[in-house]
Amino acid sequence: MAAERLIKSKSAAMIENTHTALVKDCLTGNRKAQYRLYRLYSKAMFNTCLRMLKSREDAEDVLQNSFVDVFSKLHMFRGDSTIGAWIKRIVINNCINFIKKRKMILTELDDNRFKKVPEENTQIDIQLDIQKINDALYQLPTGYRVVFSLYALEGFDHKEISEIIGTTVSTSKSQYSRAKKRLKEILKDRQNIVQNS
Amino acid sequence: MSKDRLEQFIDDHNEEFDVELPSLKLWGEIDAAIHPKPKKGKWQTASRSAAAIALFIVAGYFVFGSTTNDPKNLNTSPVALISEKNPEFSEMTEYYSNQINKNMSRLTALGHHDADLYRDIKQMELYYDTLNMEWAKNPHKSDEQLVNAMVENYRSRYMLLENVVNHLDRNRNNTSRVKPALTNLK
Repeated sequence: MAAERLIKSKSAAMIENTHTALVKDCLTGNRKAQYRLYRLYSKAMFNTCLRMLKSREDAEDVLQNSFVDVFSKLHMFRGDSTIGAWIKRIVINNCINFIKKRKMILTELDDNRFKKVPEENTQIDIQLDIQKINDALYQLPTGYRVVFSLYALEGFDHKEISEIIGTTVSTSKSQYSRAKKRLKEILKDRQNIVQNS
Repeated sequence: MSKDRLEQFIDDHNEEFDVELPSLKLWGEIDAAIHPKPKKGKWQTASRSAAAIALFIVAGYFVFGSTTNDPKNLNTSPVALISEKNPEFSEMTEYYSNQINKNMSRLTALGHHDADLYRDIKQMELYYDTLNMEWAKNPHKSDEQLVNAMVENYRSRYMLLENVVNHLDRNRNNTSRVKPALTNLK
């Protein structure tokens, strides 16, 4: 295990060094380097946009503007984080600005629209599958989908999420908790439909 | 906070959730935005279009130009032939030629030295020479298409220079109108 951890950390360091060199090349206006950086992160960032915005067209618009921002602001990258984390922050901020401009709701109301399902039961019953989770995620209202994606898939904590979407830490936590519960309900409902058909 | 089954599953398969790919044309648009082409002035764009039109007319003439040899025209000189068939030809070329010279002098007086513009005018003159040579080489080809191509070449040069001169004059007038106000502010 210790050897595996060492190899992993060494690989991470090697990747980081390569990326640092790539950033330097991009800063000189080297088009090949810029394309390589785009290729490295465009797929992951596109999926991030898609989960946040749901529409493929909107996701492509925001991704395009984000990479233009990345290359025009690259001289401001100080290396406090990895280049990947820096790019992700730009992409997510642009997604949030896009959502706000469209006046889409980022914080869902705490109402009783959704039936209560005991947490224990859902944990035992639902079958987990990437495609099904992805599909269910797109069924969530914008506010739930954004908070769930940021926490469970993008790896932000609630303090960071509260800063990103402009809310409190407790709101972020409660939104996440409700989003997760709703996601499980959707998964369970779909599973029941399949089983009963 | 401990992770439940769903969260653990997402964690373990995080990268597998990235299934979609952006469209291939996206990079082209990003690249165009971060490496914009230098902007051309209004008349530079007009100049390119005029030069392209002049070339198109010349090319059009050579591709579709008449090749009929009318025996009764064999002993007639090209100029006489064109003038005879198209009485307005000499008049028009003379008019355009005068206007072109007038505008060239005006540009010199305004101190305008646009290398691109002069290069394009030169290029259009070369196209004209090509038509002229064709005409001299083969007087039987002195038909309506050749006349049109030559007149159109003159007209393109004239319009291009006229646009540039007008643009410079407008700028000059605007500046002279603004100047007194600026002086008052001092």
